[in-house]
Amino acid sequence: MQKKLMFLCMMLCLVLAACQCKQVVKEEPPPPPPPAPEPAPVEEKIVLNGIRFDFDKAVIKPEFVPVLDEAVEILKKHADKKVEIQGHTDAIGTDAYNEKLGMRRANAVKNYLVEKGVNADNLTTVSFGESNPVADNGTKEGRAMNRRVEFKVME
Amino acid sequence: MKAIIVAVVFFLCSAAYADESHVEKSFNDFCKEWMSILKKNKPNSKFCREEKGCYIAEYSFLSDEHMTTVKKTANKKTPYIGILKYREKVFKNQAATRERALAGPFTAASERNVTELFVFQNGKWQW
Repeated sequence: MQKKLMFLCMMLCLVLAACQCKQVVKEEPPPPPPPAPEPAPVEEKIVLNGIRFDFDKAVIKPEFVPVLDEAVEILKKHADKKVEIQGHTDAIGTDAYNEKLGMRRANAVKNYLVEKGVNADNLTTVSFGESNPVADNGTKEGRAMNRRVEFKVME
Repeated sequence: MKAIIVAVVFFLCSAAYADESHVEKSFNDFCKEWMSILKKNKPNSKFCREEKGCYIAEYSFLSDEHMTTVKKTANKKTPYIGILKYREKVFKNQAATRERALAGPFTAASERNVTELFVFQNGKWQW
């Protein structure tokens, strides 16, 4: 009887010891870090300021050749990219008139660029007329700032 | 005689240098004024254009830093051109109508490297 009791006690001890064994917990791998936000795309814009056209004309005057040549140099660095030539005017005149004028001036600049070797297939023209002013049309300086040609280099 | 020639050449060179540094300084001042006008106006001037049947409105914020360069040219009427470089952050909103596109909300869409070119004529930088 005593032997049986001892045997039971030993078995109980063994069972208890087995239960106390540390359970091996499989550690789950940490979740992967969230993907880094994509950097904002970088665009290029070139603005030609101070280019005067005679009233109702869209002919490039010789005194503006240096600034256009600088633009040609910049655009040749983006030879593989499409470029939109945007004509902007001040608010003197009707919307329709300014839109046409902006387009004629953008086309005059395009023709010059093509003459200087910029690929015509990469150039498109658009006129925003007076719809995208950068300064106050109520002042002489503001109107001058608004009369401009911009190049938007497209990706 | 030699001394006179050297003196004349020296005078002409220093006059040209003074002229050039004056033009550079005036361009820096001009650009500061130009940037301050743009900064004042740009956030208020939202621009909207139609593209493929929807309207995209945008406005931009200019960076504080800018770089200026002055180049001498061979043109008599435009002896210098000025180059101003800065960066702007572009915010856009797209919607089915012009009004809704302009109403926002706008989100940061891209960054833009801007190069502005100016002409120096009649002794001043032209707006």
